Amino acid sequence: MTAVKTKRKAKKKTKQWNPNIVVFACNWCSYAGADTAGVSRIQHQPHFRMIRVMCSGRIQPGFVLKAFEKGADGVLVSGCHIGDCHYIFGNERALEQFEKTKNMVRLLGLEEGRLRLEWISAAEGARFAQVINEFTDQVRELGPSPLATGNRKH
Amino acid sequence: MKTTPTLELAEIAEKAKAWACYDCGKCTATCPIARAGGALSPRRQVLATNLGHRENIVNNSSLFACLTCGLCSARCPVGVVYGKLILNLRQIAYHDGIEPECPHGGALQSMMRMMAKGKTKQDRLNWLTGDLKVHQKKGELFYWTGCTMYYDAFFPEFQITALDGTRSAIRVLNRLGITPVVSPDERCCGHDLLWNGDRENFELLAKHNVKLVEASGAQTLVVSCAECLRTWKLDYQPFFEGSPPKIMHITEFVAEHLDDLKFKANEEHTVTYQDPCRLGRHLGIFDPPRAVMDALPDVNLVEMPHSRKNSICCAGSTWSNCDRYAKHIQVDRLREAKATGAEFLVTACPKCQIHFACAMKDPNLHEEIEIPMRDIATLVAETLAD
Amino acid sequence: MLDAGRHPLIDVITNAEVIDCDGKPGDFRIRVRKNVRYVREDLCVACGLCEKVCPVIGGNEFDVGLKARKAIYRPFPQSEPAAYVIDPEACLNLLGHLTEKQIRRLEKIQKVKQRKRLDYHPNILPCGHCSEACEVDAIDFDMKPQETELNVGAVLVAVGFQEFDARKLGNYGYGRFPNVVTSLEFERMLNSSGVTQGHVVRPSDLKTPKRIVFIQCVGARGEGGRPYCSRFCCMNAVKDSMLVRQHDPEVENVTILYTDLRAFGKGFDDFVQRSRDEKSATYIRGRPAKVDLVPEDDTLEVFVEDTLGHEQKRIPADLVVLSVAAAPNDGAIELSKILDIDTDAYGFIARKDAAVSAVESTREGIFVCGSAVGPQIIPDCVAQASAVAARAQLYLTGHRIEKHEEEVEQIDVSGKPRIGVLVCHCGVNIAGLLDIDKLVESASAIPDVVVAESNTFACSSTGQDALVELIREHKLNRVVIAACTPRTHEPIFRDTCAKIGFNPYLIEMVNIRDQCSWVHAAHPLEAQEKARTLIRMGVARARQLEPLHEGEAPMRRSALVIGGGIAGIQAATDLAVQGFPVTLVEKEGELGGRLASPHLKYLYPNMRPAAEVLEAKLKRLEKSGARVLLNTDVESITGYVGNFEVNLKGGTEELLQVGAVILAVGADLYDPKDEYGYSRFPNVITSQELETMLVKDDKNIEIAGNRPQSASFVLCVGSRDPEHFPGCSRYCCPTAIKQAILLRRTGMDITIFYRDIRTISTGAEEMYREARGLGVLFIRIPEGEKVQVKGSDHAESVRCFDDLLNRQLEVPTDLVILSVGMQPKQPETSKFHDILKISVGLDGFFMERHPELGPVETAVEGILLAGTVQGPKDIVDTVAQASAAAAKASVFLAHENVRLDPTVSVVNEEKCRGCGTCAEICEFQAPKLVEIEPGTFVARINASLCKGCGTCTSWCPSGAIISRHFSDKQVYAMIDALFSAETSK
Repeated sequence: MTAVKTKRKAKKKTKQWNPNIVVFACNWCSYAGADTAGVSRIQHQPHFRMIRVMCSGRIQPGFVLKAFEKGADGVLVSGCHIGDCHYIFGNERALEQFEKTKNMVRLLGLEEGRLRLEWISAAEGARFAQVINEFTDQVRELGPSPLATGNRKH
Repeated sequence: MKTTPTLELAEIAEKAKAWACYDCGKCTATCPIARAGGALSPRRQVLATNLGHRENIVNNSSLFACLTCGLCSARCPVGVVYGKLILNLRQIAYHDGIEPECPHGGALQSMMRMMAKGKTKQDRLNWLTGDLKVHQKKGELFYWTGCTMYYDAFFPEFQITALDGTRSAIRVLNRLGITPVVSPDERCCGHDLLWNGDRENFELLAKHNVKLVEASGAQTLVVSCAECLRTWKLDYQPFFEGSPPKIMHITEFVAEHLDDLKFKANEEHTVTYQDPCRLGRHLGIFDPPRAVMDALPDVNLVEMPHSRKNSICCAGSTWSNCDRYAKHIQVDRLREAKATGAEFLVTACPKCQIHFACAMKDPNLHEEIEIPMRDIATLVAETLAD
Repeated sequence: MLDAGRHPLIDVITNAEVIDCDGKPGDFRIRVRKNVRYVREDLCVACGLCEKVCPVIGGNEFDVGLKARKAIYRPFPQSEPAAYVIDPEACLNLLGHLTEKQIRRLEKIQKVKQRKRLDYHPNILPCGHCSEACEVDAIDFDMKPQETELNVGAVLVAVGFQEFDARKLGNYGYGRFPNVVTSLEFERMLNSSGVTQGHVVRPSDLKTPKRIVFIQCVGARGEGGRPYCSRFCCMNAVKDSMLVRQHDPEVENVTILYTDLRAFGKGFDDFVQRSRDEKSATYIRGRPAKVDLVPEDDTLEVFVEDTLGHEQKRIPADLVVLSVAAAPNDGAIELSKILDIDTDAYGFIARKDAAVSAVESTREGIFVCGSAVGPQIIPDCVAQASAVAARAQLYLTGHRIEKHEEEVEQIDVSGKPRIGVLVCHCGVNIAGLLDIDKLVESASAIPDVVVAESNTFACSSTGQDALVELIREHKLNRVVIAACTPRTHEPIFRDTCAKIGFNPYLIEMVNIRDQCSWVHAAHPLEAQEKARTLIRMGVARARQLEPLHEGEAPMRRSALVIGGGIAGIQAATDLAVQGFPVTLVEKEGELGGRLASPHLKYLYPNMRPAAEVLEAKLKRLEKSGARVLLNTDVESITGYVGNFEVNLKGGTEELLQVGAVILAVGADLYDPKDEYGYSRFPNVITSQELETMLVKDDKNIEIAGNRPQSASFVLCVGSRDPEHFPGCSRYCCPTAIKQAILLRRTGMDITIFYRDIRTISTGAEEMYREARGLGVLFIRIPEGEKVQVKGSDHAESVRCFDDLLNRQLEVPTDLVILSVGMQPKQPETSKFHDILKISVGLDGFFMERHPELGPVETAVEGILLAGTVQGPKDIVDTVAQASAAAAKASVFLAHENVRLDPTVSVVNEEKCRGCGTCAEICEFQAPKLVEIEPGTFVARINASLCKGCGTCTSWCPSGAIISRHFSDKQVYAMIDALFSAETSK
């Protein structure tokens, strides 16, 4: 316990860099899973912003690429577990789209670790928190996206 | 805030020789979009520019409906350069925050802008097979791949692979004893961004690419994609510091070296040829592709009724004009190609292939319009004698 | 739960019990006592402030005592109503209200404390922390129990079950050894929102168990005096074994000790196979006698005979999970007395007729469903619940038609965006962590925001009033509410907006509570920044919102039922008695399907003559007024919910227009062809052929002029066979046993060759015991093997390796009966798959919308499944499912119009290329290609079929499809806003 505490303190002191993460989530499972984490007060890192759509099938490559273009350090795509889609096969379609997106991201030279797909159900508040923490740490490890600096300033 | 200030309407009109227009309407009557039923009147656009109706122009959806295929300019009795007009008007619109609604959720535009930012090390050469000889940095000849690897990754559903043309071009160059520079740091040429009004990102790309090619020491730049070629030959000119290399389309280059290539006679194929707008009307390259096909012993070219200057666009420039009318144009064009009795439709631009392939995905017209396609470089590579 | 709580026609009275029931069907008077919650449901906003300050800790019932809770608590996170409740036995302020029993308990606690020298203080002053903390004054210590009388037409008893108390089987060590847990306790640990957030631990030392042993049938199938099977435990153990292995790599192995693996539900056998393939569990057939503690290392040991491996095994375990049976609820008998209905021998609510109706109790007008009648799996519970909804209609009047709301004048929302931002404190839920004033300040600075304000509880009635005032005063045309999750609260704000004529689709909720203040307590600065960005994104999205209007299409309030078997008859009757015009079409010349003579003699478990049941059903059908068309076939069906056009041909040829279609074409029985000598030997017959013989004469069976002296049944013929049908046909085990009993009673020697005996229906396990009692022999067919029928010109014996005895057996027999499984009915299944475009599962049967949530619905709205078209079922389940289908059809037909959700996808036809991608990928058949001029096709999306998932939008190559309310523009505006630096006006 004390080890964890001191570790956390040490981290605070060095003022670590925090990534900017975009999470796309479907209304019925993953967004609900994030709500469940809230209801159960399962704490997780705050460096992500969630964009809700009705189904992960709606999450097209353009969404993810736009987020990276604008400077996201990481993008998480999430939906219902396979077989549990509110719209039957929307998440399987999302998987196909995700494969395309992943290929584009690889070609563009962004680290694969900046993009992730996770199935999270409405009940899995703890898993949501865990995925967010893991992904945040993973992206933090990678450092800022090379594209993050050239933001268009309005 | 933009790097290059946009022009005023009067300047735009002058540069495009728009003031010469006497409202005859021949352009509209020529326009493939208008003929397909789309609400596009180049004439009205010209008039609005001449009259200085800025609001009318930039907020008008027809600003982005134009394919910039150049057919109207080719027919215009007074020589209005409509393409130039549109290009500049779109820059004004972009400045006002107006962009076309791009198909595929703008994914391709995002890709281009990410390349404009640079900063990342692309992984764009993993398609190079062992038999292809290339230099990565310096060499006599720079082969410009274009973004075919991206298209193949993004359109897995089409059975064509744009990279085939790219590989074939390198194979042909190798056969001529040339080891071209194929650079992992090549970026999008910026053609599509430029033509959608985003001059800012275009310039970033132009500067990078010009520097890259200049640094390679290449005397010749060979390009497969018609859009890239136009961009290099015309739009990149101001960015060269020294004297530009000789910029050639792959068909131009092959046409010049036909004597050095040996072909085998396979089974006879009847083919027909799609003149890409950028290659044909924009740059006047009509003969080299035909000369190349003539030299291939097994290829018998039959022209479509609309060819050369009169050729019809594949209706998909800049990944933004995709709609019902574009489809209509594509369907008509494919019907024309089929009617020639050709086995293959040969193109000299990977984008033509993609757009036609997309049009062929049609559950109702499927058989009426389906025709296999070949990139012209592939056609050459396949006919090379062992 | 939320749906029920919100439904305008459903009153939820929680914390209440029925104390009296009077009257008659259609006119019951029920007295209900609402027990005291001490928190006013109408005021409580479930903010949780009270819970924070409550000083008392009690055991948490929802987590089966594994975890603690406060004396004021929300029973579980999704409870409905969401209001908190005070546990009177723990609350320090309620001493004055204590009952004698409670006082005695308190005294006992105090005594214990005193004896153990815990901080004992004899006097307690009232506490009241919670009522001080509550900002909406919802806590009321003076609340008294209230009695109300309800006047209802029908009553449904759905009291469920309780766990069998495993302490009664002392040998398993539950209650003595901390590392012996029940399956429910295990489930709570495994649940990611449960006590240990999904980590399974040993209660004794909180370490992850490496070896887990499941013991099945604890308190079931003869254990603890209960002969019945609990139905759900086998699959639950299989599922849990997979979950725990996936979740925790530290768990090295899971062993499941079972007797018969009863994977009888749709897709269950596949699931078990997956578990075997993934080696998630070791399956050992054998029931242990006891669990021993190994005190040296605090582990457990289970001693079991591996009845298939033929050895006795000591299985070491770190954790033993007892799959405890479902037992009747303690209060069930008392309730049954109040309601004057019967219970069965075990104390479950009794059904009127276990062979036919799953949902009727012994008193007319009182229905029962789910595990109140005995253990059930969820899909069956849900189907039964819907079935009750159909049957109960007979006793209900009024309430059929939706209420029309008064038209209000619409507020003009055109013009440049005028955005109002409302930031909610949610008491201290948000304001406790985030600086609300600063959020308001930064929101005010965003372009197009004309006003930003905060409110203590935006969802409270005063908060709603403030919202209305804000819209009116500032002439807003967009509203951003930064508060909690849209999933629960958007309907409330939308409702308020709709009532004043403000288009409800112009509000945008920003979730700064559930997904910010509640989960980032350790990072207040970052949480503040997150909330600020989220509001900026919300405003950006609000700018792009468009007013949307619900559409309507007329509903043809009539139905078509296809298939005149028991399912079709039931569905048609249930719909017709509600007054809806129903047409029942049957391809053959008579109704009854498999119940009709000469197919079926008696129904298990109570040996009701099938003919009698069918006659009664047909009489009801005739009385119901349903129109029956015999010798008639369906040629085509087009259209969508509310507006189907059906072409009938054959006996009656006409064009029929209906609002809903119920598919009840049934299933085929497997044809064994040359398997088991069926085509060669005259004395090898199918179970169906035997049934026909029984119909003729159930005392004298004759085969080719001979009276057989012995008979062998072979089970799973065509079922549980990857080559034919991988699943279980459900009906064959009890049917074979029923037939075996009949034959045995005529003096024949009977042997049954089985894989697992799956007597899962009510009374079937008892029948199985009876058969064994009568001397019917049971021989288990080993995994992956088949029995061999031997003989030259007729079958003489059946050979099988008996893996329980571990030797080859050859049983001489005069008659072989092949218990044939069910198969998808052909050509009907292919035909309706083609014309209705409803999906077919891997097993070939039609696929339900969702196994638990929509067992009778299909992906196509208005098309419902009744009976064995969805998968094998016995008669009682078929009837229940048919009634459920009728109920679901009536949900549509009850409305005069089909309400069309506006948040669907629409096509910009100018942009559409007619490529058909959308039509290809849509599961709901919403997009269709239409030829608008010769050679030009465009897609049109039928708003009544579209569910608004937006998958087509992301696949449309030309960007022609717009997902309303989730358009590209709206999403991109959020991404842009996320990364744009804040700008001021």
